[in-house]
Amino acid sequence: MQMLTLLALLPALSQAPAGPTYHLYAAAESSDQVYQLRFDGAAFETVHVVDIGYQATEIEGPHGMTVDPSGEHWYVSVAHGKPNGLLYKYRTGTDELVGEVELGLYPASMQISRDTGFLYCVNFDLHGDMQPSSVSIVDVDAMVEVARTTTGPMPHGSRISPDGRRQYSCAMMSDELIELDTATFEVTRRLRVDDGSGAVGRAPRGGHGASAKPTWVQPHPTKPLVYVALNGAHQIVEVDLEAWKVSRRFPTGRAPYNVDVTPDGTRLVATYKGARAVGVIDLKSGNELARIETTRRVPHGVVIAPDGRFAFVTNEGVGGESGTVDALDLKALERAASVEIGLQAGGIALWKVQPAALPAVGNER
Amino acid sequence: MLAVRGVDVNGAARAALAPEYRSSDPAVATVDGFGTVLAHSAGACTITAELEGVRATRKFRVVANPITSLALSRGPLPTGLVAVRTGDVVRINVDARGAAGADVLAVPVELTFRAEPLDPRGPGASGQLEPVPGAQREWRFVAEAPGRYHIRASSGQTQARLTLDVVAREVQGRFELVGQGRVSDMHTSDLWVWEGLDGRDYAVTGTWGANGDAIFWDVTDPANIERIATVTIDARTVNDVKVSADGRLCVLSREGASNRKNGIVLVDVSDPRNPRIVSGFDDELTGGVHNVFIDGNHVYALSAGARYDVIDVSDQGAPRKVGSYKVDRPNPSIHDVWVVDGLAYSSNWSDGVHIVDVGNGLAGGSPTDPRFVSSYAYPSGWNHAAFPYRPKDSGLFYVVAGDEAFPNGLNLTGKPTYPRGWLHFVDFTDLQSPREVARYEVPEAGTHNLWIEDDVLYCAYYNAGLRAVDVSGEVLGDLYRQGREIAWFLPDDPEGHIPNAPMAWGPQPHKGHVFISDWNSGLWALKLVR
Repeated sequence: MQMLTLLALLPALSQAPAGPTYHLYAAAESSDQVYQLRFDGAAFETVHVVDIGYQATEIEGPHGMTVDPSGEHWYVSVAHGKPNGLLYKYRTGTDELVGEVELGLYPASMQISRDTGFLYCVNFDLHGDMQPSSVSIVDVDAMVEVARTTTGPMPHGSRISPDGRRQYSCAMMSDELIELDTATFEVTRRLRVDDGSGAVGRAPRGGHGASAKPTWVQPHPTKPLVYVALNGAHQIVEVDLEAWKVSRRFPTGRAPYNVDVTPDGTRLVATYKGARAVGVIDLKSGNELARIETTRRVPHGVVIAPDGRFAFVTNEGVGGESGTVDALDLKALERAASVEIGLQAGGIALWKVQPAALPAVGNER
Repeated sequence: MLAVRGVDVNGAARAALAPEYRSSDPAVATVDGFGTVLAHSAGACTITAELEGVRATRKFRVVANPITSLALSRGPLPTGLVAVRTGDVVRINVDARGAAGADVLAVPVELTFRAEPLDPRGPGASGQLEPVPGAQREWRFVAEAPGRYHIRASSGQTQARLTLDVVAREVQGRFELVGQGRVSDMHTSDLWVWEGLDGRDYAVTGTWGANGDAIFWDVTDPANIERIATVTIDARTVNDVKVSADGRLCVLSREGASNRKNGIVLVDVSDPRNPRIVSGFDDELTGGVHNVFIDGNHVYALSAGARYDVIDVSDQGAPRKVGSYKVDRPNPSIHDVWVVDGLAYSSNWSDGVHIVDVGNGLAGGSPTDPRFVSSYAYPSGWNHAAFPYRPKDSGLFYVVAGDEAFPNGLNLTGKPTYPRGWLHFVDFTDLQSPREVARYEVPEAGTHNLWIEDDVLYCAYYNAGLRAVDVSGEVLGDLYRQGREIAWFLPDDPEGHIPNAPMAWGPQPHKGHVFISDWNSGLWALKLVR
């Protein structure tokens, strides 16, 4: 009797169980579009393309993206305005526009604090002479900018600590890592992330003092560490937040740009903007485990799925070439799939991961 | 006509009040539901307005109308005309006199008209009749269709009539297709046509949402347009292209640059077959330069959609910003700028057209110190382009303000786009009192760039193709309905980027031909045959 039961189940169990489905949003900066994408572990599907902006024949430049912790809304920063840029708020799934607010010059990357509920968006400002720019703090319920804190020249890579109490950004043109208190909106600490010799990167140009050009900072999920991409120095630096100093430097491919860390804190994935590749770095040894070629010459953004299985990378493309989103298998350390999106793919955010459907055996008789 | 104003208990103004009106003595004066008072006989009466239990009154004393005779006469026709044509603005002089034969200027005289169109089928003919602003007893009239128009003046019981026969304007011609330089692998943006240093004729066209190409053409023989060179810059859109009057310098606008800095690129086109990038300039032009204009040694470049900067390019290798103009309004937004005779005409969406002295002397301005002269805005907020012109022998000065609107979206691939908008004719003859007097609107279509030469307006009317319009003389009313359109051409190309989808972007007359760029099909050469 028992043998008969097993035989009846075998056909269903022999089918590989479907994996989770990853839902993403990616921005195409030079075609004013945001793509809602779905990835099933093997292939992408474009679910919806959202036109962004208000002047159809002008490039307004949707740049940074984030999804709020509840997953109910996604946000995109629009770089070019009159002259200030905008932050748009959309409902996830339906992609219905629900709010907007004007921020500073060239609002770029951003994230929402679980602690305060506010969104912190850096105003990149590559407009004219290098002046200290700012972080806009936005009440996303009212879509009102409640404060604007001056940080440094060309701030980029706004990321929030796991406890939501600190916001980190890089000042690209002063080689600084800047820490902000998410409750008081005040800058609490600054740290030079170049090695102080002036020799870690390209020689400063245009009157600013930067050589390392930090472009992104990513907190470690469990330890008091952040990782900073030094675009001009071809390094990732690890910063010990307790000692408030650079604790390690990892060499990378040319021009690391955006960074994410796996949820278990063991690996770091960095886009190499100047090397047509993404690097996967073992955070214990600091060694590069793999360098995976991207489908376009200029990789830009990266986000790792909460299960740590895949990293999703935007690739800008060059000129009229379409941008792409690559899915990188972090187990096999290879590219799993890719999908074309609009021109100059940049910002990317993961909306949700839908668990695999239950095996069909339970529903079949 | 009476007007009522009301406030609520908090003192805030109430809008759209519709009270009931009544007269205390209808034998003296009556009042209708709109508050129009009609006096009937000498005497006194009170008009009351009442709404929601609140009343307001006004007392009137009616005296005998001193006007005892009225006469209407037509002003002179434009030189060379023997009959009034549709679209001709006719001056109507009103002569109102009292019993002693003296002019009576203080008493209103109303004019109305009735039309008897030659073709009585379908809708009746229409026109426009209005007092001439600032003039006493002078009106102006324009007819839309040929026929007989009866103009009646009245003041109390005294009346006068003037009848006008209006003939068809008959300016219609046609566009003859001469040649095409097809661009089908990407969208085309603006164009510029010029005579090169070698005496041959050349054109440059930009590209949109593509790889940053600017394409150069030899158009000496418009029937055989030859693509001669391509300059590729780091941009996704080269929205605007301009060439200096001396034919040496081409300026390309840049949007979607990889480094996000955008700005402009200067190209030496002394030899258009071998254009050479000389320099770039992006200081404070990061937001993307959508349009530019070259005037002498200065380039006017739109910055971040907020203002235009004036850039000295006398040293082409080292351009430098020397001036700037920004509309002094909250959240200003600019889209285009055009410079003629030291006056810059910028188009600023909801802030409308701004005229700024950048060397004319009218307001003491210069490229380094632009000074405001005048402006005009209209409610839709669609102001996208502006072109100044002075009709021959008229003493008038108009600026044609063009719309751009995409209420139905912009289709990048696959199917045509259906924009909307029209041209607004703004009378700037009195710079301090601009007044919108006429429009040209092709139904179900949307305007883009325009050019006026020899009293002919060429409008790239997006999905309605290229339109040529007679804009001679004074203009008033609806030019499309008046038969002022001369010709049209649809650049529909089955091999276009979007096939058979006319999307005319910009026109430019040059040496007897009219060149247009089309978003979906490249460069076209046409001949206007009249």
